[in-house]
Amino acid sequence: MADDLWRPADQFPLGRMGGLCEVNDEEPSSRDTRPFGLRYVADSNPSSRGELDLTALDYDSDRQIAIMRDGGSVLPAFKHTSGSTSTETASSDRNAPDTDTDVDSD
Amino acid sequence: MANRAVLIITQWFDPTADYVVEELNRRDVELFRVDAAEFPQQLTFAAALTDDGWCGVLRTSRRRLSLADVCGIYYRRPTSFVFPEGMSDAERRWANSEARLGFGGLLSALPRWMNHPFRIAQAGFKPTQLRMAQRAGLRVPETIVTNDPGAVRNFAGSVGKVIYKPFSAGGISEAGGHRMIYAAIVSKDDCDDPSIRLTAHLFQEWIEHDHAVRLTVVDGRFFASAIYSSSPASYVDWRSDYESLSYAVTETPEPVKCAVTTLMNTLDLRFGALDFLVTPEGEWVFLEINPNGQWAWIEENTGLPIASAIADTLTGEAA
Repeated sequence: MADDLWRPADQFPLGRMGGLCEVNDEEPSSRDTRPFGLRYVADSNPSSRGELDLTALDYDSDRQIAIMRDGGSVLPAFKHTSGSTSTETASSDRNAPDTDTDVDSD
Repeated sequence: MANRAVLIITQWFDPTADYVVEELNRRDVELFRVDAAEFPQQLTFAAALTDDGWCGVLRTSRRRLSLADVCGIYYRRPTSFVFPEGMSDAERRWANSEARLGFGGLLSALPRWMNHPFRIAQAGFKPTQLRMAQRAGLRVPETIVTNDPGAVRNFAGSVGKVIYKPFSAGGISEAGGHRMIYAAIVSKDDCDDPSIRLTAHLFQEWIEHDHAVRLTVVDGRFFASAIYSSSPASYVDWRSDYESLSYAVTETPEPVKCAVTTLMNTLDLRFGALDFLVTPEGEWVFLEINPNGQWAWIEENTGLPIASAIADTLTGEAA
């Protein structure tokens, strides 16, 4: 009998939902039904480096990296205008934070 | 050259992966970067089972990759398959399942991953990794996983100050925004809160510490960065306030190296981003291993050559 807790598809987490932001508008439920851990929810604060301008992002198909257009210049996105990157464990550069693991794939 | 192509599976916007891509470009290594979202509409594959294993190609409009040439596969952050508009929901679900088991199944049968997604999935379970770390000889905080408020109250009575941590790192999307859940000190009054019953929770003893360490391990090479916090929030969880952090390269004690090597071997991982707390007495206490964790900001802040080490591993040039 198949074990619903451990399907083969779950073991190969291609198809993780993610990428650019997916924001849910549903409001938190009441204290009676909101799990304890969620009382510690907080705005992500990876840094004050500023948000990336997503409209300035593009993909360089030759170099196979993301690039950012800044005026007349083109920079690799990992070295964007501040000289910083968006590679921290809770990066907010895509509106939805990055995760530090892939176990929570769909 | 045969066996000299690297396959990177990730979304197009992944600056951490870009570090490795640029390093491979600098080395003039053949590279095929693809996101699962490109399948099936922009990505075609065909493979046949031969005496040498699965042989075939991945193909996009711009590139072609012979599976026989792959010397390393870097699994990062792929996003979902994208199917044509017009499919019914039932058709899309079926197609998605077939794609995962067929296309994903083919990839999973290939060698030379860092890390194989099966291993990432297994290692991502905190109860698993904590037990494996303990067995490997690392000090692990006293831990309880439960949905029983009474058990938490008793645990706090036994260990004193208690910290709560989520099992996952993804946070929650609600009320029109995305928010994180950082580790937090639990007050005594909250230790038997009825809402603990509503899902699984993880509590640990609070570890007094001088600083944290992010230890990045790449195929047996250790890159350790001490992380010093200067705010109350980041002292509890350094992810909560990056601006308050400073970094310094540090040495990993030999006993910790040995134990981490055992842990990595047990979990069959070639890459890991491990978090430790270092007590005032200098003892390293294991918090977690992130089998697909971020590392580029550590390289940026310390100069540790992690991207180069990953490139070495993917091209088979590791020492």
